[in-house]
Amino acid sequence: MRDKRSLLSVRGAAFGFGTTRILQGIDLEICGGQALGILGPNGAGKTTLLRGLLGLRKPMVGAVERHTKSVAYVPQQDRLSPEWPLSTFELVCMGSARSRFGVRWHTRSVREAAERKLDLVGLLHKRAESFADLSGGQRQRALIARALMCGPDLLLLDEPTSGVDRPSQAKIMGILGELGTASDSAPAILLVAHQLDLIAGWAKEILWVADGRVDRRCVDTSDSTEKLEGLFGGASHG
Amino acid sequence: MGDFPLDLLWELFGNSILAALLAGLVVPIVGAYLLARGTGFYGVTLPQLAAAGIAFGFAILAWWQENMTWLVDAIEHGDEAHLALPYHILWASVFCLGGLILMARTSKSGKGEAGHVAATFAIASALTILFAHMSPMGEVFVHGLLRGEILAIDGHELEILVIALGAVAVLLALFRRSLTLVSFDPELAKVQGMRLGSWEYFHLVIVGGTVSVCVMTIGPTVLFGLLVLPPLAARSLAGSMTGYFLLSSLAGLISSAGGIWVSFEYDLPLGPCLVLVAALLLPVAAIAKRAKRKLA
Repeated sequence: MRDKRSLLSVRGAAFGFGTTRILQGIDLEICGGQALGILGPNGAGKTTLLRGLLGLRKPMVGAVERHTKSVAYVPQQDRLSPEWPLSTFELVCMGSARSRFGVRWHTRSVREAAERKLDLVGLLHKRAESFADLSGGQRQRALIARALMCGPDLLLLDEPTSGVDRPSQAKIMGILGELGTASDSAPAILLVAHQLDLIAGWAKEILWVADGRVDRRCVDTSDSTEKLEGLFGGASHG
Repeated sequence: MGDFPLDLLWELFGNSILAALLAGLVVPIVGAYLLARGTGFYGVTLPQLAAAGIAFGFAILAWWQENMTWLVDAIEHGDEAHLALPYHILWASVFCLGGLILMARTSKSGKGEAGHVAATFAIASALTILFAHMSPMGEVFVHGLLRGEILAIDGHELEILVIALGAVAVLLALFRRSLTLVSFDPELAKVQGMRLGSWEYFHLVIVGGTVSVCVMTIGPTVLFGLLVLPPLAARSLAGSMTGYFLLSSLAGLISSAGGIWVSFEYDLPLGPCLVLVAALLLPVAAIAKRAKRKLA
């Protein structure tokens, strides 16, 4: 297992828009190998929290400290414009941050890494296809492959199972499960989800986002979905 | 064209033919980015802004010559034609880059980008006519530009075009992946530590520079067409970004070559012919796309 050193620390942070605070009083410590689900009702600020942790949104007060540069994220697939005729392979190569003076070379090692990641998510045969032409589930898996290109210590995913059919959801969670058990390269994974039952068997802890607060709660993966839903106030619709 | 000796044709119009072919090769790649970023309408508005800048340059030329004595001296002692071109490109750049930055700022504030770009086009069109009206010389020149008469390109103009478009082609070839990333997924680019603002301005300078130089040489009509139509045709067929750029460039080259042939064959203005040939590629691309799907 990757060492359990702290990858991300949040101290008394508040996030919001303009002068409006959506979330406040956040204290968090994320360490290597952890698997956390971010759950909560619609509009509670799950994505705001994720963007704050990524550094895409500055905290209004407090601090977010990332102790690793190797951070990757998977956006919601519908945030990306279908107007770009990117091939799936080109999309995955984007995940490699290697550049020299702003020039990004797709060296042989980058291309080989991209093929391995595509193979890992079961999309190697789709490498030449346009990203926009893939199904929702395939697109999401391609985005996970892209995120893995930098060998992240910390992987953040924004509703990767949203708008995806059940078999694809299971595939995506299966890939994340495999990542979490990889012996020497398990990244810490934070995943925003809208269905508790999907992540109940995967996440060891839940960040419950509601009423402007973030509560960290441990979950027993053997608990039934009904019991968990009771604990999290019927979060499956969140 | 059949009765015209080829060597004489080349001697008279060689520069214009080369300029049209070069623009056909490079300008569509710049347009490919505009289209993919959802800012295709910039392809119509920016040349109009640059044309307004050129007309403005003519409108204040007398004042400029009276007050900017250093420039007047330079013109008197130098080659007037060589100095006139940078003067007009300067004003085209000021209007084009100014408009670009203004439009980019309004789009960031989320106040309805399309409406702002359309309004900018309307204002630029009106200003072009008004500024041109203030100078008889400017009126003739701008009218020629808008008609797409690109048959009078001299060697110096061609040199400027080769240098400018050559630089744009090299920069786009080198930085295409970074530009694609910051445009397609700015959040990932930011997470990877890229400076979004710097890349945005770099893109604006490439677009603004291309438009400013091209509008003065090949004119806004040809520029409208090459920025928008070839990439639009290419996008429906391309399955990758590399393919998109190459097909855009190829479509632009075909448009230029086809436009030149039609223009000389039927004695029509080159600019509009080039644009209409480019427009013909749209249904051709649609048919090819359908055939490709059937074969797949």
